[in-house]
Amino acid sequence: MTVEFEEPTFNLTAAIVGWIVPGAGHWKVGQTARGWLILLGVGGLFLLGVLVGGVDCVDRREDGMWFIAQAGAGGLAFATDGLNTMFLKSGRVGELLPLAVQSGTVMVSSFKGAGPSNEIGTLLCGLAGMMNVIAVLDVLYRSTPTVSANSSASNGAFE
Amino acid sequence: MIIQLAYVPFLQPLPTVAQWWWLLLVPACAAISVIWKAVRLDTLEHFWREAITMTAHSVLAMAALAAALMVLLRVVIPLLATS
Repeated sequence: MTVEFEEPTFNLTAAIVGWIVPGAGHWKVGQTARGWLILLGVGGLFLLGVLVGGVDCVDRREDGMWFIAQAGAGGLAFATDGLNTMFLKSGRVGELLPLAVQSGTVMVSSFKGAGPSNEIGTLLCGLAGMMNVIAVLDVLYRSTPTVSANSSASNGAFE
Repeated sequence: MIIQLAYVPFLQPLPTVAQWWWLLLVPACAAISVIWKAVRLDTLEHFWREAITMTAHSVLAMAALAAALMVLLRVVIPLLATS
């Protein structure tokens, strides 16, 4: 079987789509199997992070530096931050407790994470974001594969 | 009175992670290998074999690094201190 590649093109739309939904950029350029594998990897890593640290491990306001890395996972990171604000910070789930800080007293959720769980969850979500950035950079210049007409059988590599 | 609340997945941090956090290295390495191989391989014919091999290499390398650091901290540095 012969697999030929078109000239690499600048796939800006695919890169944006791939940032919002991990793997979707590869679907857009016709590499469906790669897209699913990227979604499995990035989504799995991100979900593992949220499972370990809770939704509080993605916090745009309090952990701004970490969120830069986590935001690489696009929609997943922003959705989790939204859920954190909607449920925990508003007190809709759990209860808001007063916490004394240097500048006074702030109200924090009783579900707020602290300690190794939160740190590891934050790290795993950050890793997921950075790995998705690699996938986005890959799809930016990825050429669309075409299987030539004289091929005898497909190896399932490309869909 | 102490009230033990039930753990709510995805909302609360996972309890008892402090005892087995190092086991999370395996799924983290597996996910990173799946993404890396999905991006780097020309064809996906031998994808799972390559991803599993990379996962095993990463985990073994981390374990070797941990063992080396343990030897350094528990054997080499105490020897330097006494000599």
